[in-house]
Parts: sequence; C-alpha cells; structure tokens
Amino acid sequence: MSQLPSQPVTELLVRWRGGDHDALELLIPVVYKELRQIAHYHLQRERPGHTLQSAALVHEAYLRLLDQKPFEAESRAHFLAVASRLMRQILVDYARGHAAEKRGAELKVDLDAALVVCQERSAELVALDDALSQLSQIDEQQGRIVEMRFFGGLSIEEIGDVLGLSRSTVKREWNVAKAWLSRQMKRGAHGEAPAVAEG
Amino acid sequence: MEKLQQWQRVKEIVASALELPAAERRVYLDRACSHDTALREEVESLLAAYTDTSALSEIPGQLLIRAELFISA
Repeated sequence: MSQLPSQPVTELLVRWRGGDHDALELLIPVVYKELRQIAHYHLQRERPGHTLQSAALVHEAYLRLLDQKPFEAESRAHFLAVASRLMRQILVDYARGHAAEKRGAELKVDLDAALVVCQERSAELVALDDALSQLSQIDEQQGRIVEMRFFGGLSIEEIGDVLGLSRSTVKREWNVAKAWLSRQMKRGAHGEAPAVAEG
Repeated sequence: MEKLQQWQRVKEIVASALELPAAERRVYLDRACSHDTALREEVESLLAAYTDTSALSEIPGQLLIRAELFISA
C-alpha cells in the first residue's frame, strides 16, 4: 500500500477540512484504490493468484465517507484508519441485519448478497464487535489498534504512524488485545459478564 | 481509577511475558506479580487466552474475502 504518494492525500485532507467539497471528490478515488488494495491483500492470503474485485463493502465505505463531516486526518494512514472504522461498522451492520435500512435498492442487492455469504460468520462478527466495544472502554488505544488491524488491514507500522507509537509498542498492545478479546468472546459465549481485572 | 491502574500493570506484564521464551515466563511472572495472587490469576488467564487466538485473527479478513468472492463472481 505504500507505493501511492502520500503528499496529494495530505493536501486534499487539508483542503477538505477547510470546507472544499471538491477535495473529497478527488480524495475518494485514492481511498477507494487503497481499500481495494487492502482487500486484495486479504484475497492473496486466501487464494494466491486470484485478482478479484472488491465492490459493495468498499462502495459502502465510500458512501458513508460522503455522508460524514470532514474529520481531522493528518495523513493517508490516518484517513485509512477512519475508513477501517467505517468498514467495521458496515460489516457489523450486515451481521446485525440493519444494513438494508440504510441504503437504496441497488446497493441493497449487493449488501444482501454479501450478507448471505457472511451469514455463517455473522454471530462471530457480532461477538467480536461487542467484545471490541468493551475493550475500547477499558483501553481506548487497544481498541483502535484492533479496529485498524482487523477491519482495516493496516500493518503494525501503519498503525504506529497513525497513533504516533513505535512498532514494538503497537505489537505489545496488539498481543494483549488479542488475548483479552479471545477470552472475552469465550466468556460472552457462556453468558458471563464482561470483566476487568479486579482488585 | 484503581481498575485502570490494575489494567496498566496487567497489560505490561502480559506483553512482556509474551516477548519471553516460554521457558523463562514462570520466573518472570514470579518476580513481576510477587505475591499478588489476583494479579497473577488475571495475567495467567490472559496468557492462556493468547495461545488460543488463532480463530480470532481470521474473522473479518474471512468476511471480506467471502463477500468479495461472491460479489465478483
């Protein structure tokens, strides 16, 4: 993902923040491409050699960006981090079955199609989302790291850039977050209350 | 506030323990947790959970892959 120049994005972000709506029009195709690359990375891991198109998820993220007010994003990586959050919301909306209410008919078809495919995993996704929300209350930074890593496909280095942390710190936080989520999801599955360290 | 401080301690110890070879962890935990049994239990519980995170790491990635395979078909 690093082959794209980051400077134009930064400039566009500044212009957008300054109220220039045209800047978002220019920005979105760049983000779209990057999100496609994130998706491609996932695809390559799964099935080497396949070049498949991402579509509905990225498209939905794109539309939600249009709906949003400009946010404070200093860099390409930061912008992608926000896009990661949108993708999380989209996936979880699917899984919870609310996606259909939010968009028009044409996109609904795509979203429904994706939902059918995702259905068998949707309980896990909802459990993950619940656990992640709880983790964010205990440790906001870990919550953000998980969001960017799981939902945005950002690398440890990129997350470090966004949060202003060293690679080793991100890795340490990521390790602990994974352990906490894994434990929390198991407890959730057994109906136990969320727990923080007592004492 | 007390909980927050406890969490900071727990996560420092867990993160450091995970960076050590398995054989050295016990000695480290004995020292880091001293005689605080509640702390030790929390740390051990997270370390145990960590060994079982393999399923977790693939969830959203898998969803993306499946959605895209379907949509592009």
